[in-house]
Amino acid sequence: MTDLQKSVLIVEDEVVIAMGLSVQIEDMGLIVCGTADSADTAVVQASMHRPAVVLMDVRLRGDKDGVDAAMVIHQTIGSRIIYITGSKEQATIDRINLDHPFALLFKPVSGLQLHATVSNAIQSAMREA
Amino acid sequence: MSIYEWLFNPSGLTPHGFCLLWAPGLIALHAASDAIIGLAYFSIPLALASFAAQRKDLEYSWVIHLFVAFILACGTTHLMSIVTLWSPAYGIEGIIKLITAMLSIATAAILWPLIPKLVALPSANQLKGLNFQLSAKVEEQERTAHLLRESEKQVRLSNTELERRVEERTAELVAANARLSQALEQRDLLLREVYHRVKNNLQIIDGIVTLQARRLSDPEAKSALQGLRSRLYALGLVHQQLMSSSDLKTFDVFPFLKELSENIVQGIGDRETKLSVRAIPLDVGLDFAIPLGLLVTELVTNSLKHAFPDGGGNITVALNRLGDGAIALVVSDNGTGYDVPEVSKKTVGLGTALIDGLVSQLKATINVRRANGTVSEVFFARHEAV
Repeated sequence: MTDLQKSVLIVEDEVVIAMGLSVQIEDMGLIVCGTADSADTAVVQASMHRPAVVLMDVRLRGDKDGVDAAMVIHQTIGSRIIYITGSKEQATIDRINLDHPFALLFKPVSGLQLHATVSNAIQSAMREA
Repeated sequence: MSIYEWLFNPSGLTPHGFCLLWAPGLIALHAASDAIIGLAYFSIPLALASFAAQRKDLEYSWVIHLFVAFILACGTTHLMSIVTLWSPAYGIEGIIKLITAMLSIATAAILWPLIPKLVALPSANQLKGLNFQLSAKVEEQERTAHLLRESEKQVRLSNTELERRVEERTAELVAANARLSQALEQRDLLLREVYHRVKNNLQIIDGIVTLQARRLSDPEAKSALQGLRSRLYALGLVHQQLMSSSDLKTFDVFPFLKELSENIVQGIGDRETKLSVRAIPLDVGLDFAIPLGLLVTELVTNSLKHAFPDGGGNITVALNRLGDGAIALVVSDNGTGYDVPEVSKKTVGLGTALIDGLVSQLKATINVRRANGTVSEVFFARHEAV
């Protein structure tokens, strides 16, 4: 897993939120390699682009959720997973912790919070690469 | 003369038959009559004694025995009269008569005072009557006992019925309780869903604002949109806190104030700005938290924008309880100080207008003063908080 690209995959089923996140990532000087609105497309996009960082929503379109997608991506590609969830319920947090999240952000996510977390994740991934 | 002779044959005396000149008719008449009387007087006491022996419950049975002795003695005197027809045993006859006399006088003497007591004894008829009454009473008691048993049975039956009803009612209550808990769970689930949706929609609006800001070149317009974003963040944060609160209605104010203020300082300020947040433990609801959050957003933003033209400085956000139970929000900085425009003027900025509106919505009062920087104090009554 040494060929991670310095790019970010955004997994979010609300298009406008995904667009907002994209703009903020691009403002950081990073490349958004794609957006996905379901667990399956997230896995496909991730294996295509091998992004260093994935911004992952928990609730997605379809039967599978963000944790399903993240576990596959973490194992097969090794991307750093940053969860962005609207839910602060313990059940959701427990489920997220089944995976190995790099970070867990709760909506609303502030610009600076996002900036700091993504920067750290990119650095961590690139150091390994 | 020996005692024996005195008893059985006193000298010089003749048998009684001699007085009757041994007339055979008279001798036979006396002897036969005395014999029959004697036998009868022996039979009667024996019958009485037998009666007394068989009726052991008789009261005053000793009287019967007295009669037995007296009649036996009388019988013996008659038998002695037969003996003295032929033998002059007047000594022993006299002694027997003496005994008889004593027994008869004793019986006669005792009998009179005994009469009223014997009269008082219940007669057989009376006993029969009493017995009849007693039987009637016993019968009545049996009837009563029967009724008692019946009513006892009734009581047991109605008791069983009562217990059954209580059980039924308890089961109903348990079921109703279960339904209620289920409904409550449903309500909680729905509330969480609603908060989640509200938050998501705010995030969508935030996304649109972010996209819009990127397309603008006018710095003032960009800054206005940034201001809008921080206000949206305050609204979203209230819903985030509500979602994770245990009662879905209130949450502790401190983590909320801290997260809110940090976001503003990190979003607009430079890295030199230091923020400190303090708050009393206070559970707040949606109606208080939203205006409070917006107020803090405006006040902290003001400090960041105006207080530190050269960058760097300290901002403090504090929620204190005053002596009279009222609560004060204090936002202060150690900057250069800035003029807060009068709200009455038409030219005030959006921030100032919002502060004025929010203070009035919270039924609060605001006081802004200079003290090593700018100190804004907002006072509200305790009951407005939850």
